Amino acid sequence: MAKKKPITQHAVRCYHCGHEHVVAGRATRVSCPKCAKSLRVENVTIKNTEGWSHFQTCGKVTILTKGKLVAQTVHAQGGVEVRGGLETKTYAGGPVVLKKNAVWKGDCAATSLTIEAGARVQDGFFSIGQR
Amino acid sequence: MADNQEITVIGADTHIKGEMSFGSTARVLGTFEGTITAKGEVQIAQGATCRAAIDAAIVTVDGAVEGDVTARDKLRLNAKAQMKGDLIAPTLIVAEGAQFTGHVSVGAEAAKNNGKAPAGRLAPEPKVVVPSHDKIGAKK
Repeated sequence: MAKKKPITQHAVRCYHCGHEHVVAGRATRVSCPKCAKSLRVENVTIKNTEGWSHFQTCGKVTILTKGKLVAQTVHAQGGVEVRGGLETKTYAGGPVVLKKNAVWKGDCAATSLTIEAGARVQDGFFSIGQR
Repeated sequence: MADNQEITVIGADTHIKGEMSFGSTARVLGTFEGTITAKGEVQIAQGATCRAAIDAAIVTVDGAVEGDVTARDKLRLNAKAQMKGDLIAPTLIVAEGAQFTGHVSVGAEAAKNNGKAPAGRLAPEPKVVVPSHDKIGAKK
């Protein structure tokens, strides 16, 4: 008899209305039970250059060394980790981490910020720990 | 920090307005308004309030700072730091819990250019290529 994998769950916060609810661990898209809007809840990894108008997820956004994300806005409730390039206005519900050789251009609102030596920030307006 | 290094301390019950210049390390425990320039490190201690433009090699903030900060070497915002103003530094360390609002320019080039963003990987200078037949004076 095959063993059933335990069902994992995690809490997400809707980036439209701010409502916090629990979703299944393997879910990638859900509807918010409060505002009924579609939500992307997966963690996203950017490996190449990608352009978006509005990039939104309840998970974490990771931009790899050769990746670059260009967008008008990025909403990442799980935080952002940048090893490559990011050119956008970022709203992060979690920590923002700029690794070595990361290049950041744009504004940022986040709970915490870590900039490692070697990262570059090209004049953005930052609001850290205010939310 | 070397033991024999001289540290200038602005005491907790001290309120200073004006311009201060330090040859080595300064530690502010009280209240300061004005301009601080230091060749060494400037430490803003927890409980201290600083409404000042700060220019130093290393700046460490534990208290409240309102003003522009330029660090030639390193800028550290510790967990209790509350900061409003623009930052320019080759290296910035923001601890979890620190509050900060302002423009940021980080990187070796940012420090050299005093905060003016250089043409980088993300913002290449737009190349305008004019076709030869569109150039003024070109033969058609």
